[in-house]
Order: sequence, then C-alpha cells, then structure tokens
Amino acid sequence: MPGNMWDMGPEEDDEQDEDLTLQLTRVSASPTDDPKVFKVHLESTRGTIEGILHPVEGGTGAVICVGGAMGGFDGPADSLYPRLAGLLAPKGVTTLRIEYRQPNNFEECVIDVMAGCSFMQGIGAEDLVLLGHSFGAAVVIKAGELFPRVRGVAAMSPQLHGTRQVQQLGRPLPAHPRDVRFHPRFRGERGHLPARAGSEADRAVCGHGALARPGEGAD
Amino acid sequence: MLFADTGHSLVQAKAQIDALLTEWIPQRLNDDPMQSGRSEYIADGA
Repeated sequence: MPGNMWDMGPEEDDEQDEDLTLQLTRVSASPTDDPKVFKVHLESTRGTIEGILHPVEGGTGAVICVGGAMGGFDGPADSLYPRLAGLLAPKGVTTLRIEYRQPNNFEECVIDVMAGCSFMQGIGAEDLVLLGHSFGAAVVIKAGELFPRVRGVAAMSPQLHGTRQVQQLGRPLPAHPRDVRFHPRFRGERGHLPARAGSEADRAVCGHGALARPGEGAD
Repeated sequence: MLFADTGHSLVQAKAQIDALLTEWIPQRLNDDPMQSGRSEYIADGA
C-alpha cells in the first residue's frame, strides 16, 4: 500500500495525479461518560471520521492529536492524549483526538487530519497545533504544511517516510490570517504528498518539537 | 528533543512529555516564547 509506514520504496503509481477531495457533509456529537467530553462524528464524502472533543469555551487555540499506524484515540506514553487534554483545558486549549478512517494509509490519514482542522476552524479555532506519533507524526507534518492555521507541529518518534517536505513548516505564518474562512471542502493532489524521506525528519526534531529520535521509541 | 535516561521510551519519558507539551502547545498557539527557557530552532526563512 503506497504511503504506509513499511513501504519505503518509490511512490510512483498510476494514481499519482489524481486529486484527493473531501467534503464534510454532516457533523454530529454524542455524549460520553464525562459531561465535558463529546464524541464527534465528521461525516464526509470519503466516510465518517470519528473524534473525541474536549472543548474549552471561549478558547481559540486547539490541538489535534492522532495516533500511529494502528490508529486509536489515546496515543503513546500511557495514553498521552486524554491526559494532555485535561492538562491543556485550564490553559484554554481545546483538544480533538481523531481516529483515522483508514489507519496506515498515509494520504487518507492526512485528509482526515485536514478535515479535523476544518472542523475546528468551523467551531471557532483560530490557531492550531498538530500532535502525532510515529506514522501519525509524518501525517501531521504533511497536514501542517497544507493547512494555513497550523502554528506548530509536534512529531513524537516520527517515522522517516512521509516527512520529506518538513521544511515547508518553516514558512512565515501571519499571526491571525484574515483571508482564511471556514471551508469544509479542500483539495490535495497525490503528486504533492511526500515521498520517501531521510534527513528531513531530523529537521522536524530541531524545528518542530519532536520528542524522540526518529524511528525510535515507538511506544 | 531527547530526554536522558529514558531509553528512547515515550512511556519512561511521559512526565517530561506532559510537562513539555503542556507548556509548548499554549505558547506556540499564542506565539509566545517558552517560559521554561527552552529555545526553538527557527528554520531559514521562517
């Protein structure tokens, strides 16, 4: 499967020029055992993306968390993501934990994160940070390149594959861009998604807060 | 960022990760410097 964490070969295929599009068609929420936490269901033209939302009323900053190649809501380091949501809420930061529709499919997972970004923007988030682990670290590096409101990316134990364009994250970012509006439909091109990478992941470590050596510590 | 004595294990480093992200994420969202004194590498052209 092109784009997964084990496929380190060239990514040339017949579908390379195919546009990838996704449109959010309906968003719904359901309660959890915690009255401050909601399950969200982002229905789209490519399937439903499930998420867990820890909203903070009045906050305009948010973090989106995604797991590794196996997906999941909780992340590494003994369920970091729900723990982090509780730590960030007093600081006014909303957390959205996303489950991939197709874990280990790089392009689809990037689209899932971008859909999450669009959803968060739609409910009022002005600035976003993306957090991913292993395979998910490469996913958020790519999504951070593509989504204008992303202010930072934290890549934990990033795999090498899929991080070639990490230097694009160093682009200047306006403090509060006024030219970006809620746009639930976005487009990406397969040809613009990253191919195999090497030292690019090292720049992720330096520039964007990776927490362990690339390719190691994937627990 | 690497943490000493954690064997590249995120589980062993979870307390440090919690502390780092709890500080770094709000600071990044607000475009503020790290209060702990950690510095960030800024890529050319950023």
